Amino acid sequence: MKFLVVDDSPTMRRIVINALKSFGIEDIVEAEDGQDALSKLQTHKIDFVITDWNMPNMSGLDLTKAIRASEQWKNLPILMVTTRGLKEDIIQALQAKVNNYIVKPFTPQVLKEKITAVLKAGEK
Amino acid sequence: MKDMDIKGLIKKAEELRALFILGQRVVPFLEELFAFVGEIQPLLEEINTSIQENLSKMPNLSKQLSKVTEATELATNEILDIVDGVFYKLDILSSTLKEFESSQLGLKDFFEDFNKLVGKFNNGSFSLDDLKLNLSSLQAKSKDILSVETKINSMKEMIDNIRNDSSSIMLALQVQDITSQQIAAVNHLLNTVQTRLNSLISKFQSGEITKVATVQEQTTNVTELHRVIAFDPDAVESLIDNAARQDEIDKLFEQQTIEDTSSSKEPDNKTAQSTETLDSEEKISQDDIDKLFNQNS
Repeated sequence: MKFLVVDDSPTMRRIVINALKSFGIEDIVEAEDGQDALSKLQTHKIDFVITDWNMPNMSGLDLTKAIRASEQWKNLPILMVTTRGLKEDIIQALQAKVNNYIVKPFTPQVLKEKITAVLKAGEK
Repeated sequence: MKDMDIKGLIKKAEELRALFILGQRVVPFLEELFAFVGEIQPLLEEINTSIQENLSKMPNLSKQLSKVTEATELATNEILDIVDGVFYKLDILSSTLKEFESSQLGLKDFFEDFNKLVGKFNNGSFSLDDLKLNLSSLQAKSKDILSVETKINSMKEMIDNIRNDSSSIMLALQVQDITSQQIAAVNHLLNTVQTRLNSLISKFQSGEITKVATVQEQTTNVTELHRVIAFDPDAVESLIDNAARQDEIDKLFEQQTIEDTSSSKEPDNKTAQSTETLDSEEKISQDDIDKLFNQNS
């Protein structure tokens, strides 16, 4: 299973990737913003996207909308990991059809739970 | 009329004339001054408003930077505390490992004694005294063997503890991303203030102020961040009560899922319907998010 980790902060990407590796997930691709993520989606067969919201060039929300608008990737699981915790933000994320949502700072345990939940829901 | 009186009168008339001449010269200057004050008044009012606006932002900037410092300090201390704990646990692990090694030696002795006994039994030199002697020795060594399991469990527990500590360090390190967003927000505000002040100063088209403004502009440019950051101005707030907020967010997503499954006829309006009662400014927990997303899936 190939994961795409999208975050403009290299530190955050490293933290997420370290956590994924501790779960035994080794096949990981990185992207530094939404635009970069879209180009990575074209060159790699991605199975799961973990994205930040606040990013330059293209935000995580716009990335989600672009993915959902695409016939090829519309069912791709998307987990949003962000500092934004206002209800207004959650509403926007729900409307953009994000599969799950984590507020930073998060523990690897929470990340694992959410990935499992999204994958489980996808099996149904 | 006396001669003295006439001279005094002439002197006064000359003084009066001089006063009129001065008045003639001063009046245009005063008119010019009044016109200048009239022209500059709106600009001064604009400067005043802008300074007031910008000054009102300063305490907020200062507060945001203080929060960054606090958050960084808190995270650093947290990491240092965890690392101290990890060192302590590693010491315990190391001494348990030493005990384990000695238990393993006991295990080796136990089997050597046992094999000797079996050997004696096999070659017919086995006696009841041998059995008695070896039994008490074997019984003593078996205590070491039994303690091995306890030691292994204790080491497993310690390893789990260190793993949890690593997670806590990862949690604390996320402060870097969060504070960098806050700093980006402060930088953005400073840039706004600088732009406004520059546009005001540029209205003085000539004279010394322009020179001062040019010099000021060169020295007061807001520092560029090392990379472009899209920021959440409330990012540091996410460090507070994060677990509770995630709970609320989970609930929201669960709620959304229930509505998704119960009203499949109008998929595009579902989210708006389920969230229309929410206060959009309110921060919600991960639990609420989970609930919404779980139901949504």
